[in-house]
Amino acid sequence: MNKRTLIFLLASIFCFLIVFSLALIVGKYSITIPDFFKAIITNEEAYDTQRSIILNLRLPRTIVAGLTGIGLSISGLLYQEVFQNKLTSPDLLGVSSGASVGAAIAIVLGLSSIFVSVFAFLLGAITVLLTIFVAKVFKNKSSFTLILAGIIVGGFMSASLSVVKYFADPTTTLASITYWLMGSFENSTMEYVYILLPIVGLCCALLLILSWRINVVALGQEEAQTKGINYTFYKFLIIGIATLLTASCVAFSGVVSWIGLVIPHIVRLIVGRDTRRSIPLCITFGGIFMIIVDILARSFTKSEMPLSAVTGILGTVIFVIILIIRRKENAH
Amino acid sequence: MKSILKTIFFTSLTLGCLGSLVGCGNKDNNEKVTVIDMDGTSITINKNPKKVACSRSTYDLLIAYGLGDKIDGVDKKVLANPWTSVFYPDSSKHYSYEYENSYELYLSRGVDLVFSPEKRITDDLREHGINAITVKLYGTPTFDNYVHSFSNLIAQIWPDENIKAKSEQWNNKLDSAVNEIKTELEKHSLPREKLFYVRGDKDKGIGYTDTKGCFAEYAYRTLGFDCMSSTLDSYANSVSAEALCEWNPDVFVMGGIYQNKHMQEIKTTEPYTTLDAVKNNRLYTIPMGLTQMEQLNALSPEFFYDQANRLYPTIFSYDISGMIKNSVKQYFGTDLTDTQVNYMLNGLSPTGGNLY
Repeated sequence: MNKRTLIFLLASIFCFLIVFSLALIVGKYSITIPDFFKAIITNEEAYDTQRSIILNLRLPRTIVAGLTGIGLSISGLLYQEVFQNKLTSPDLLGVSSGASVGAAIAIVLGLSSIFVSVFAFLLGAITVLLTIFVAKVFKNKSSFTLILAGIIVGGFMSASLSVVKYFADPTTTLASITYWLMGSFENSTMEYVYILLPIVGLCCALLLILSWRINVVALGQEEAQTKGINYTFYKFLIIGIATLLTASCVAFSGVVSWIGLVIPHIVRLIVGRDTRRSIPLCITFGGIFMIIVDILARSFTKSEMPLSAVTGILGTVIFVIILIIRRKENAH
Repeated sequence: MKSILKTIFFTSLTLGCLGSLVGCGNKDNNEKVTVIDMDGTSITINKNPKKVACSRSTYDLLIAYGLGDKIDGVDKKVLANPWTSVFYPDSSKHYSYEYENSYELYLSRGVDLVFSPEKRITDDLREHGINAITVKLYGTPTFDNYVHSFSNLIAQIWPDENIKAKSEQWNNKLDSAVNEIKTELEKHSLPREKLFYVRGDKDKGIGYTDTKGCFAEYAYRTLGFDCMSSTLDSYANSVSAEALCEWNPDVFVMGGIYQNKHMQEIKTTEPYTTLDAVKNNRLYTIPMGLTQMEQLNALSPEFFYDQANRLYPTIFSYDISGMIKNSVKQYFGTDLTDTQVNYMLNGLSPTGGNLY
């Protein structure tokens, strides 16, 4: 890790901690900084509401937001590297479409939020398996075939989602499905944290260990084989990890757009394509971005704004800035 | 033989043509009425329609005015409510419509008037030649000027003296209930407290409420409360837990089929347990009936009396049970038992179970 990367990493860790703390203080319910400390340090009854809001509402959702940001940013980076295409995002293989169908079915069946997450995760994972199966049918090992299969299966899942929405009650479940599809951390609890934290933690650890192999896989099959790497095995391992991360995050937060596309681009702009540097920065940058999005989504209106509305606005602006910076760099 | 067949054929043809002409003539001679629906749109329709498709909010008042036999069908949610068949056993004869239906379905069933819940649906039906009138659950900007709208509309569309009398009687009964309670409340210098209405027709948590155009907002404002719904526009029918804690209501009222579930939830889930209303146990429910009582319905006067009793127990003590029994007998011809009324008042099903 070079000096530049280290500086950015330490600075981003510091920013992450600041933003995380800010997320516990800021919200629709006004809590002053002295009250914040009194609420979490003392047991005074006068601060029961503040304490409860901080510990039961803001803490779990901020952790889940951070983990979701990390998971989606890293999976976006992995997909972009493996498929050698900078415009791919975590839902490339139909994970989000599949998860949406799973969640919509659970909502129509009237199941509780934890089952909505379970259904979303299962259908997301099944969709990726289906994509891989369709790609196998073509008997072509190129990444392009896998992307094409992802588009086919993703399209099928989108159509299935339309069918499920058609059968949903317009006055009850349809609105819930639409809201879920736009993403929210409103229902986050510590149970979500207990499930998501080990998944994201283990995946990140594994990816940091595998990072140099990811670099080799990103060079393509021929290059990888000359370096003695089992290309197919590592390619599918990386895709598997990325899919697990995406499916887990989407299952708990709903569909969150843009983050998997924007954060890897920002990180690459700073440290280049080397995943040994980009993965650690994706972790901190993704977490910071998503926590900020959550603060914005919940702080200004009486009801919460959907995450995708916020990420969409922020994401497009940032993406345009990235393109301008890149253009200037290329001009030099 | 051939000439006999010829004669029969031409006679039939002539009779058929005559019949059609007579039919057309009748149509032209049908008495028309021009009404203005809840969206302010003027529509001219035939008086005394014989086959009406109802939205949820229009069903029980039509039955209450003796027009049950003119109803072809109603939104399936109404028929799925177990109280519907208790109030009005003939509801089993009614067709179960979806919230939104194709115009072909209405045409195939020979429906001559649709009471639609939304302007969008109404406009679509009218474009396809079906008489449709919007009867919404919401007023613009509030429900104040719409309390009598549907009742008056019924009297205009079915201009029978009997129906007109029933409409006037119901309007007066509702006005009397409101005025009586308001007058009594004015005698006491009460502080204006904050009230949060938990909607509860869906399992969407404590923060799920209704907006400023709804009947409940009108009702609780009339009952002397600052209702959070008054601050919510039509697109925002839910409030985050933080926003709810920030507002810290003095009173919660819970309606809908999930009211008992929400009652448990608010008493056991943080941060709601830290709110003043929960600490002071100022949590109240709304009776269930053929419709949710906090939406405009035949028993709206009783809804006002019941909520006055619950929210101001030291001031009011109306005999709600007796009132409900009398009204249900008068409007639906059904004798409710004390047990059934008790279940209604507690938001339960006719057998005492949960409604969800």
